[in-house]
Amino acid sequence: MVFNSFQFLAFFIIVYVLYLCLNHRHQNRMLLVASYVFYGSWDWRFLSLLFVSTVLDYVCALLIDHEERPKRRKLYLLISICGNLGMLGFFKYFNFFTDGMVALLGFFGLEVHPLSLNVLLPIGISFYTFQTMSYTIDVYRRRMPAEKNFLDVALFVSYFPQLVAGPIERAQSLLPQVLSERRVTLEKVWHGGALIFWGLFQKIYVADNLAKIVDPVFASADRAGASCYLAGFAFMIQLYCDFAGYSNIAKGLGKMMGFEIMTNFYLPYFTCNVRDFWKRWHISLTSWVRDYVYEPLIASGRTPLRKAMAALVTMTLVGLWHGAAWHFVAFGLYSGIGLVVYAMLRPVLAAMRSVFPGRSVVIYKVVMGLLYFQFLMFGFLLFRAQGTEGAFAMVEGILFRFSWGLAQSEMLLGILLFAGPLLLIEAWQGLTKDLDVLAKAGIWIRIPVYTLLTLLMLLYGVTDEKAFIYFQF
Amino acid sequence: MFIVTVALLVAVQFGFARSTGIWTYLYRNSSPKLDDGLRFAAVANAIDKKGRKVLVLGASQARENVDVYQLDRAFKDEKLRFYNLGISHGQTADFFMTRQLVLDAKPDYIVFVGDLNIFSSPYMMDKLRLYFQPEIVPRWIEGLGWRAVWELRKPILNAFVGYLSPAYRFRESLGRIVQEEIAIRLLGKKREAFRRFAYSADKKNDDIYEDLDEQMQNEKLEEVATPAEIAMNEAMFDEVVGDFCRAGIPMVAIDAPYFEHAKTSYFRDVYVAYDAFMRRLAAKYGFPYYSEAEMPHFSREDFFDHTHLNRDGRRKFTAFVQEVVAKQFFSDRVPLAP
Repeated sequence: MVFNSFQFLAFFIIVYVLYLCLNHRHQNRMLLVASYVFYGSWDWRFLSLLFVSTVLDYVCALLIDHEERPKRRKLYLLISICGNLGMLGFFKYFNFFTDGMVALLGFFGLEVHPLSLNVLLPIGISFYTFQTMSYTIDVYRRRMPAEKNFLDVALFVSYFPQLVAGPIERAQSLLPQVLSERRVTLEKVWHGGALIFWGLFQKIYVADNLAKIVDPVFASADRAGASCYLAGFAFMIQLYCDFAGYSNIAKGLGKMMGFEIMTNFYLPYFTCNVRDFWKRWHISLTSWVRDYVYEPLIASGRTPLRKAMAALVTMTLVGLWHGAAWHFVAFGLYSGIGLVVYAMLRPVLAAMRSVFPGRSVVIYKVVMGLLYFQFLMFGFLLFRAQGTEGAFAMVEGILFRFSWGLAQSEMLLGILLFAGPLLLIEAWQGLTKDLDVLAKAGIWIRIPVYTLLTLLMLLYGVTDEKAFIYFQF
Repeated sequence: MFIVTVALLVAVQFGFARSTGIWTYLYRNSSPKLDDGLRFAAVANAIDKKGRKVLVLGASQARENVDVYQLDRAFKDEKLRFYNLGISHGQTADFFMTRQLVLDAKPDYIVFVGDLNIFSSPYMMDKLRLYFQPEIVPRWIEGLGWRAVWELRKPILNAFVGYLSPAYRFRESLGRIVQEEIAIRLLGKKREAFRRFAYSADKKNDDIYEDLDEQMQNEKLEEVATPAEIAMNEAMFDEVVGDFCRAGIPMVAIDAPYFEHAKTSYFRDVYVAYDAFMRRLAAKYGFPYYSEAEMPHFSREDFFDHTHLNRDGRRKFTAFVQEVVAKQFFSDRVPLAP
């Protein structure tokens, strides 16, 4: 049941009407049932995994909370982490690791017959396992008490707007909202609706239409340089809008029910350096790995070398989180190297920036932004190309076979037609530093803008219920 | 604000839909192969409600094989205008959904160029949105049952949105035309010449039977509707023709020519049933029905594929339609030579 489907619309209308009619306790129970129905609509067999993950962390958190002995507390935490990562590892990485092991053993002359299983990837497992782990880790760190009510914990884990593709909510943020009464005001309903509208626009108008431009280029054996470059550029916007669209819809659905779900993207392409980018892109994941992987790695000493190694490890894990394939690992490593190099060059960049006093710093930002954009695009070529060979072939095309013709002009026109409205509105958001600037604008701006965006969706919105890209992760 | 936005959306769309200039532009920049629904709507919009007119209805054979400009010239003295409302892959449900549009146009005569598959092929849902009227839903429920219609809920819902929004109804065509126009204006791309017909070239391939055999292998030709659907289609078509007759509109039905013996070799059973039904209907409502036996002979050189005529064949078939119209509706008029 994807968000951009009639089926989900009918589902949400029923859930929302019930939600408005029930008291807090019954709202939670109804939402829990609805969330399991929602998840079960993808594949009912994986409901058991969701349940097992919930039970595991509910029990471990209670045990941790009631235990004073540090070793025991650590043991329960380890059980939770190993249990969740074990499930994730089996369903997502089993074949990847066995193939890697076979290749490694083969390198040493040992012939091993690989055990390959056709393991289905349960949708959302990368998201909800991280979400539940954050709960037990925060209880272990004594940042919050364990919750005794199993059903409320189950709702925290399975809350349907953010279950299958995030944002990965922290227990400290979402669980209190589950436990306390939520107010639904007209303003929240309006604001939630505006977020859903914007998310749908990002998905069905921008992302799904750019996919039609991007996919043939990546599938083609003929890697004309300019087409590859444009496809890379278009893919960056496609991926962003696909994922940010989902996150905005999730946030909007939550808002309509009185929940505050975190912002997952904050204008990531309006940055001029890699560090800033990763603070704005998939914020729920990057902040998770920062708090639970990076910070513990540098806890025993914040030396530049240690920080650099931690950054490489963390970003490689981020890459691996996306999928069990070497090009995802390469993407993560590439991003990690970018962070390390940026850290090393910061003094030089600061000196360069000081050359542009006052308002002229905009020139520096624009130039650096454009340069960083190229760096980022090559990283996303790794991400999309379904293999390092494909990515390198495209890079080779861009560097050595760059020719521009009518086909490329039409491609650029298509990209601008679909990405243009988004870029204009995001530029407005960037200038005002307010993601909600459109929803808050005067009525004589909102009416024509929403009318135009709706017309564009009516004309060009892709209605064949294409799944969101991040479902595959 | 929500209500104002919706009202503005409706106003903008329906305002555009009432503009003759916009329909003319869309028609002249549309593709006969890709924009059939849009062209149908553009022609419907262009019908002069006051003048004398003949509406040519039917499937793609009506659209491709009848040249209304040739007929306009032939009947200039009678001040008769011909409008082609042929529908690509036109089926009974399409004629049912568009019958009120035909009645509202108040034609003086109707020429129906039928295809043998209009009753017996399962409805092609991908064109539902282009011609959708909600009244088809209860007919489908009655004829096919709730479960069958429930299976079709997505395209029906999709079509309903198109019914409410002209922009959505013709979105593929409008989107493509807008993009093309932008490319022409900004990139200097050459505007494609206007084409009235999809098939004007001599032949799709050298051997039409080879083409038919390939389609048979792909099972494209073998799909036949269930007996319940066929019965429903026949009843709907009976109702459509009945409505025309009750409105006092004289009608003539002409069978679409097929390549050589393609009808009897590939579509024998379907054709026999279709022909028998049309004859019964013609007898019931008193309209003339011209089967292929009563038509001039169309040779290999007249066909583009097994059922659509090329430029030469179209000229010949249109001349036959001209004779039929003259004979049926202007019996004192001497038929013109083809």
